[in-house]
Amino acid sequence: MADELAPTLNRAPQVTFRYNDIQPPSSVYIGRDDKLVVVGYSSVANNGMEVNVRILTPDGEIRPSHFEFQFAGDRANHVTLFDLTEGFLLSLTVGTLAAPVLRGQMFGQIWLGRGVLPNVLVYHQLVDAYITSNLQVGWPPGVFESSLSGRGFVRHIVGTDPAAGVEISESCPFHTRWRLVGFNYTLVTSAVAGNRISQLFIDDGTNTGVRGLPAATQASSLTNSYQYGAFGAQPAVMGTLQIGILPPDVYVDYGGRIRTVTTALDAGDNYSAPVYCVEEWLVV
Amino acid sequence: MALKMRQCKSCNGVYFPVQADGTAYYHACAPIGMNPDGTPKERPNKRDENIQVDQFGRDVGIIANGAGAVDL
Repeated sequence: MADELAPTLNRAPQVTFRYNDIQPPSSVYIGRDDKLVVVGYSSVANNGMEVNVRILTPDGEIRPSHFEFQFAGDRANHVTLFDLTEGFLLSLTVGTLAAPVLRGQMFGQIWLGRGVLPNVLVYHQLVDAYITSNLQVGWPPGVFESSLSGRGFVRHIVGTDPAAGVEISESCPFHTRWRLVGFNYTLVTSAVAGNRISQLFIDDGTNTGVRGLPAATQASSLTNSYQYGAFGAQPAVMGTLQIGILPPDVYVDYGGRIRTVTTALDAGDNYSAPVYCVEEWLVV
Repeated sequence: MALKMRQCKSCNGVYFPVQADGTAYYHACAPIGMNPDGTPKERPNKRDENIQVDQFGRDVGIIANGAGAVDL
């Protein structure tokens, strides 16, 4: 094998390169009025994005720049503008200010545009992607994805512990889509007679599109644990554990709720705080 | 760092406004029953901590304060 490679290694190149008057290796020229438009959406508190760029100036200098943009983790859109040096954009990378940030928690959009906030015209898209603390994205070649594509951020949420006699209700936050993986809670019934049926409703804020039923009713003076999920088949009650069945891939968008609706709920019945697992995307 | 709890003064529900993963939690009071048309009957003075945005998508505060909330 070594004998076959040796002639190849010794051959002279058939291509030569210029040493003078080399054209810039970039199709993006930044004018004196162009600005870097940085848009961020995040569910993580006290964090933001850092952007690093290299620009080849008209006099041949490669000038690196570093920009930081901190914004609230409220899932709303946050925009800022950075002035740039005139020249050819050679490269750009985007990361987070602090770790950890996982896929699904922060979405960034990096563009070239002109104007003054909030009236900015965008001319060139460089990055539209989830920004994480362990994998930089950048241009070239650019990363362009919908915030709803690919996998989201898997998280466990401890919800509101309702007062006695009050149902559980968890709302999907602003700019967010959930895929419900599992929903877990406990119901302690009072001594008042009656069979409770602890159903799980998924609505859009008004209309209920998905309704899950437990394995059995729950009588008075009992403590039952409920686990709703896409289990396929509904087993019988095991001790005090009730398995509730949901369809696979239950999605909840902003304004939607996951909530119990309990037949014969007494004022003395008491739900625990639900603990639930969702896969979460930011809706940009 | 220990997580702090908050209590809604509208429904008396108790919750963690910041979750263990550092993500904000947005409490909204549960419905109190069903309307005759089958839609959820919302609590009068309902608190809803989900955010509202203006025409530019900027956070301009929570949807409804209700009776407020208190840190525990």
